[in-house]
Amino acid sequence: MKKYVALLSLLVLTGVSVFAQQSINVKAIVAPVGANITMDSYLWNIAFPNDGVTPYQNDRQGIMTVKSGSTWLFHIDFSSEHLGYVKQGSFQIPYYVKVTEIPSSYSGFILQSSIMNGYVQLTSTQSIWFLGRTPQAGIRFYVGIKINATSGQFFESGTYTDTLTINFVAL
Amino acid sequence: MKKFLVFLIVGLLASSAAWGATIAITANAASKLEVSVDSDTWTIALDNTGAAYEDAGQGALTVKSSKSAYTVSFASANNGTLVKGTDTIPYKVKVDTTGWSSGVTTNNLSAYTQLTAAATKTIVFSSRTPTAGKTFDIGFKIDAYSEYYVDGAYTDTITISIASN
Repeated sequence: MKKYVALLSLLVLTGVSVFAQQSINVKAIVAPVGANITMDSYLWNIAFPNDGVTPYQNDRQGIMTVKSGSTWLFHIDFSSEHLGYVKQGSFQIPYYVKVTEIPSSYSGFILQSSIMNGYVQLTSTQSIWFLGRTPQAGIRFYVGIKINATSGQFFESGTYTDTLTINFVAL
Repeated sequence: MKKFLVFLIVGLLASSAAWGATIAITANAASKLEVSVDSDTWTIALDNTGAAYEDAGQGALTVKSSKSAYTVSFASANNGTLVKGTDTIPYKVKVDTTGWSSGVTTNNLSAYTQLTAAATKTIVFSSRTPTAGKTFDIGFKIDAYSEYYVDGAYTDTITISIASN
């Protein structure tokens, strides 16, 4: 309690003095112990039939492991370089991503999110929020990907690419 | 020093931090380039009266392409003539692409053309087809003639190919 009062006093005193002196903004980013996101593969190669009928869908395209270490409140964000499209020059194909938790002994909470409820296009960042530290081994998720066929139409054949980024954000 | 420590504490409390992983996604969309005809044998009854023979719908050519830029080429085994031994009958073909003008850049077979070695016998396209393809009439013509052809069966083989540009 004394420490709390002392810290509070110090903050108040400092807050008053800031108006009279030049301020220095200090921002330190400290990694939570052991926090990271790993994938079983960082390269996904997809063979799309491109017959106007057959979609590509693999609910287990990748396995993602999330470890929070010492952090108990955090979220992971999914974003796409091309906003949910794979691109080949001016040609683009929309794709969709879904995350499915692999049952584990995680005692925390994973809040409801669109990307866990079904396939979503990453036109904007999609987040999954966590309350509670993960086990040391982390929590594992399947990451699925789906490309729909456009009925009766070819996509321009060739190689399309995108970069999917998954960020761990500790609060 | 105390102020510095306080700022440091405040900074630590206020900041959030991010670490990430990136996945490179590569999707290979399969290629489709195909030409087909409704019938690979054309049997033509030439009455040998000297009158021209013409059928604007002698055959139907279906083109399928998942590429935007491609060319369909025609070739004749006998330079655009039907052959019976040393006797020949010149003939011409055309391909009617007027129904899909937006997908065709150049049709060198829009009018009846004899498929000689020197002739340009290509159709250049600029759009992907639907997966069902695009179908075009192939016309066949033997010009009117003033002398009888030696009677009998004359043959030739037309080869149609497709390639991306």
